[in-house]
Amino acid sequence: MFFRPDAATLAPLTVLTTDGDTVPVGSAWSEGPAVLVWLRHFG
Amino acid sequence: MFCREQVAGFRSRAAELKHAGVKLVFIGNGTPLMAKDFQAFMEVPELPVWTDPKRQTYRHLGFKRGLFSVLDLSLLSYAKRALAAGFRQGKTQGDPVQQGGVLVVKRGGEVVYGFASATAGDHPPVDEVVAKALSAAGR
Repeated sequence: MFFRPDAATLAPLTVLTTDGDTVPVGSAWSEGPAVLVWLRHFG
Repeated sequence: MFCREQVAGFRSRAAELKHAGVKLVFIGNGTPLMAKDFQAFMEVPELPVWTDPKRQTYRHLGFKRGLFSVLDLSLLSYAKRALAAGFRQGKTQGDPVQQGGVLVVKRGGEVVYGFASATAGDHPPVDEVVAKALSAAGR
């Protein structure tokens, strides 16, 4: 299903790196375009 | 199995995306250690694998979740596809009834492509996503 969410409200939400550091999702596209793939899980 | 299939698909285009200045990020919902193990298993040490254990980004994006999202007849054809390509189900590390999706976002925050999975294995074509990303990069 195709959709167009609002990246402005998504950007400040935070996730964790593999080292446990907190990063805002919007950092992915702060310096250039980004492809973000949300996985079902790690399995 | 589907997560592995999806990551492998994008992994095969990672160099092309990097060359175009496109950042490729995977986001799951287990612990950081699970993310690190998955990154190593999938042999993508150079690619960010982030995790959202509270699934706040999943909720924000409205990605499907629940038993009915994994009990879908189309799952059978997706499983056949993934199995034929050699992918096998590993131990589930994260939410077993959460679905995912894909976004392509231009610098500055314009979403140029968005796909939300209806069920497990419902993935957008990698070629389609990469084409949108390269276009977003001006290629």
